[in-house]
Amino acid sequence: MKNSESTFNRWLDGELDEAKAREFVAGLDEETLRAAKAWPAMRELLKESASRISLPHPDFLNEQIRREIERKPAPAAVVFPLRHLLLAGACCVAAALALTAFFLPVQNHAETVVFMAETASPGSSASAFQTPGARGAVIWLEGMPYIPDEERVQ
Amino acid sequence: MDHERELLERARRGDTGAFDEIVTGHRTRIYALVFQILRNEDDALDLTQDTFIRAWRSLDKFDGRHPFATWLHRIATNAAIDLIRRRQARPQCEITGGPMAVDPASRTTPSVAEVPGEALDRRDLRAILDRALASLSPEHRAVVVLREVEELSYEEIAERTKASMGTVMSRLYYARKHLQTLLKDAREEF
Repeated sequence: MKNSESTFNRWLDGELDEAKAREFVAGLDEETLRAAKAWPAMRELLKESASRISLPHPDFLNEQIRREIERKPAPAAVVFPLRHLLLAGACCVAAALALTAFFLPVQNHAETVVFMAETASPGSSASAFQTPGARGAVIWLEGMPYIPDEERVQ
Repeated sequence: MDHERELLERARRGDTGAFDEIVTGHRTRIYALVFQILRNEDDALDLTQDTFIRAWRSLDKFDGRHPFATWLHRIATNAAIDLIRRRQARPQCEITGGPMAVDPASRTTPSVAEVPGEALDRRDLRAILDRALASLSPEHRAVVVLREVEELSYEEIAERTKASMGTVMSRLYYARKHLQTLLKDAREEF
């Protein structure tokens, strides 16, 4: 940017301080000064001209816009399915995590592996404990009403 | 303003009737802005329509921190500047001497509502000014319109036109000088 161009613009827009403006004006020729003096009036005329521009066939424009936006999904219709999809996705992830936690082995502090399994009876549960070094496993049943005699360990 | 906020809320929920009212409230100013930059009625109409369609599709992005009109004007200006940039493949003519490049087929006279009985002088002056504006390149005209009519700061113009401050200052300088030269004879009438 040429310094003089920037200074000219700022001077014409009244953005130069008094001292700088005085210094700048001292270097200007008469013609530039006359043109600058007329600039505010021209600016008004520009604004006036802009304010008098009228839109041809305004209702046709509305109609065109209405047709176009009705042809495409409304913003709300676009936003909500996305939100629903996100919600459904989040639910799926949560369910997958819950199932993984349920079926995958859980390590306890003693390095005993605990398996849990769903049972047919809603009031009962079954867990299997296995410690690698012990070469054995314990099956723990809870909530069963009784153990039939033929199944009881003697 | 409250009514507009209510319309915007309804439009956000997909109410096209509410958006239609919004269009009616802003269409003339948006058209005038775009027309002043492009000086072509067909382009200005297309871009006005495009501005409102873009606005409709981005309504959820309007945060209400600035007036809706400002947001719309930004969309319209960006659309106009984008169009100018797309057409930049055509050879450009800087204002170093004669008149700037203007498409001879373009309709450069805006539709103006005439006021019966108004002094002819004022009308003539506006017509002279319109012709002078039309003789600027779209890039120079955009800068003049954004500064003089829209009253944007130099920084805002740079941001809207995607140009450096130096380019903005330079275009503004040459555009103003060019207008001053073309309007020299009419100046005494201002």
